[in-house]
Amino acid sequence: MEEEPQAADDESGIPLWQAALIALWVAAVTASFLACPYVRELWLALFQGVLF
Amino acid sequence: MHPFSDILAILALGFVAFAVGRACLRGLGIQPQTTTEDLALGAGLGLGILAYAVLVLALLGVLRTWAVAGLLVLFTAAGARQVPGAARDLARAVRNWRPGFWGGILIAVTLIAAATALVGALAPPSSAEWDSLSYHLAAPKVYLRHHRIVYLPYDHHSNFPFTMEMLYALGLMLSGHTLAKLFHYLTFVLTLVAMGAFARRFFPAQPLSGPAAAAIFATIPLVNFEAGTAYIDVALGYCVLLSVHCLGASRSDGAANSRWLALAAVYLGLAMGIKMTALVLYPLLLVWVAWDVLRLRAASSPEAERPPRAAAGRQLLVFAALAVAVASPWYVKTWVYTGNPVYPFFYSVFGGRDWGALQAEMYRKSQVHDFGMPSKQGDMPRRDLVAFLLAPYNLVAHPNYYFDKHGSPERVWPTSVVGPLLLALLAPLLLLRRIPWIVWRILLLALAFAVSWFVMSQQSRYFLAVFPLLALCAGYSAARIMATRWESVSGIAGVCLGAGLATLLALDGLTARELAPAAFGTVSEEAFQAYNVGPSYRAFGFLNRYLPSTAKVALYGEPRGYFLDLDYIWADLGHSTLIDYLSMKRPEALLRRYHELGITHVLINSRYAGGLLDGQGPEGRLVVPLLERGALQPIWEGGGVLVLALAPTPRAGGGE
Repeated sequence: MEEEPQAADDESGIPLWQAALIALWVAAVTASFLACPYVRELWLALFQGVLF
Repeated sequence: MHPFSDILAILALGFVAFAVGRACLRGLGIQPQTTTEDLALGAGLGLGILAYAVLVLALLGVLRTWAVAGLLVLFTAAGARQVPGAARDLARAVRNWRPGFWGGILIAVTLIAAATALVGALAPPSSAEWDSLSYHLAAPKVYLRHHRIVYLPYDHHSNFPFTMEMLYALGLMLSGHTLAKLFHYLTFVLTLVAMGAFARRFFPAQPLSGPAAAAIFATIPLVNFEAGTAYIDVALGYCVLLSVHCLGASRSDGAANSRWLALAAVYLGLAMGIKMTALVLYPLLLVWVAWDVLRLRAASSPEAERPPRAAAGRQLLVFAALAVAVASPWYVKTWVYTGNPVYPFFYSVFGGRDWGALQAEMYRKSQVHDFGMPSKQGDMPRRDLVAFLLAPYNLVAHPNYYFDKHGSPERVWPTSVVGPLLLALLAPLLLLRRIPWIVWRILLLALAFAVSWFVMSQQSRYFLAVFPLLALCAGYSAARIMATRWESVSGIAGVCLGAGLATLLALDGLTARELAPAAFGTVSEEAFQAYNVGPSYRAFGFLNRYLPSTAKVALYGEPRGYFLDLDYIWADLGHSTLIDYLSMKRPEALLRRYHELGITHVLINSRYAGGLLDGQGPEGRLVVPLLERGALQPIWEGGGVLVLALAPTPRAGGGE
C-alpha cells in the first residue's frame, strides 16, 4: 500500500458504492457540525451583528 | 509603534531571515525544487538562527540595544548576498502563479482567514491570551529588564524551551507586543507557504491539494486564534511540517539524501526547542528515518551496490544526534537551573528546584483532569479506548472540553473550535486508492502522536503540532474527491467543503470583530484592556504608576504579570515551593517569608484565587489574619481585585 505510485487522477476510479459512502460521510460530518448549538449561536450572533 | 510600522518590520525581518536561511541551504548543498519550498525552508532556518542568536545574547547578559543592533547588522550582512536572488525569485514566483479558478477561490478563503488572524496579531494581548500574558511575553519582558535570561523561581513555564520567546524578546525590544506577536503570525503565514511547497513536491498530480490544505488549516478557528497570539503552537506545527517535508525529500532526492536528512533533524531540533511536546515526535521520526534507511538498503540491488550497514547506521545516528544538538541548549539550561532537563515534568525521576510533589500532582491534575470529554457534566474526562475513538468527533462537536475553560466549562469559545473538515476529509483516504506513501506515513505519525496526546493532556492546541500535516492530507483527499468521475459525489463534497469553510471563516470573523477596534486604534489600548482584562489591569496600572521601582509584588490568582513593570512573584501554592504554606503554622511566618523575599505588596484576584479572601486554603488561612490585624493594608480595591501593602518590617521575635 505504501509504495503505490501516485494516481494522476481518479481515472482508475472507485466503485459507486465507495464514492457514495465518501459523500455520505463528508455530508454527515459537515451537517453534524452545522447542527451544533454553538454554530447556530454563531449565525444568530452574526445576523444580530449585521442587523443591529 | 504604529501597527503599519510593525508590519513593515516583520516583513523586513522575515525577508532577511529567508535570505540567511537560503544562504545556509545553498551552503548545505540543498537545492529546493520551487521558490515556495526555498522560502518555507529558508525562512524557517533563518528564524531559528535569529532566535538562537538572541539566546546567546541573553545568556551572555547583553540583551541591550547596542548588542541587538549589532546582531541585526550581522544577520543582515550574512544574508545580503542572497537578497537580490531571493527578491527576484519571489517576484517571478508571484508573477507566474496560476492557481486556476477553484484554486483561486481556495486561496481567497485562505487570504481572508489570514486577514482575520492578522487582526488578532495587531490587537494588544487580550485576556484570551492568558499564556502570553503569563509567560510567553511576560518572561521575555523580565529578561529585557535584566538584560539577560534569569531564573524565575516562581514560574515553572520559564524553564520550558523558549526559542519563540527569544523572537518575542526581540519584538518587545524593537517595538512592543505587536511586533512580538507578529513573529508568531509570520510562522503561520510561512506554514501556509510550506503547505503549498509540500503539496507541489508530493502531490504534483493534484494541484488543488495545496490551496485546499491551506484553506482548511487557516480557517480552523483554533489555529486562526493562535496565529494572532504570542503562543508557540503554530510555530511548532511549522517546524514539524518542515522536518517531515525534508524526510520526504530525502527519499526522492537520492543524491542529496543525507543532506535532506540533516536538514530534517535541524527542524526537528527547532521543534523540540519550541515546545516539549515535540519530544514525543523525536522517537517517532527516528523510526521513520530508520525505516527509510533500512528499506533503501534492502531495495538496492545488486548486493554489491547496497550501501554498507555502517553507512545506514551513520545516517540514523547523525539524524538523532543533530536533532538533539539543536534542541539541547534549552534542556541543558533547564537542567543547570533546576536539576531536571524536562522541568517540571517527571519530578519523581529528576526532582527539581522550587518544585515539590504537591506542585507536581496539582500540575498533573490540571493537565489531565481539566481536559477531555466527561461521561456527564462534572465528571472526570474518560480515558478509555471508546473515548479515544470518539475524540475526533468530540473535538468537532464539543471543543470546549478540549480547551481552556476560562471559568465557563459549558461555553464554546469560538477560539476553541477545530471544525469538521479534518475529520470529514481524512476518513475517505481509507477508501481512495493509490494514496501517496507520505500520506500513510503522516497518518501513522499523527495516530501515534494522538495516543500520547490522549494519555498526557487532551488539549486541542497541544495537537496543533500535526495540524499542518493533517490539513495537507485532508487537502489531498479533497482534491481527489473533487476529481472523481462521480460528479454528484464531487458536488456534495464541494458543497460541504464550502459550507464548512464559510462557517469557520464566520467564526474567525467573530473573534476578529471583537479585537478590531483595538487592532486599528479606534479604541485606545488602555480602554480595551480595562474592559477586556478587567479590574486586574486597572490594579496593575495603579501599581506601575504609584509604587517605587524597588517594590515587589506577590500575585495571587493573577499570573498575568506581563502588565507589571515591577518585580513580582506568583505566590500561589501550586506555582512553586517559594513560599512553603503547608509548613507555616502562624501568619507571622508568612509575613517573615514575604520580607525574606523582598515582597512589599500583595495583589489578590479573588476570581481566580479560590476562596483565599474567605480564609480558605493554605494561602487564605495565613493571608486573611494578616489582613485582619493590619499587617497587610488595603491600598486599592475594585472588581474583586485587592492590592495590599505590607506594614514596615517587624522587629525580631514572635511567630515560628
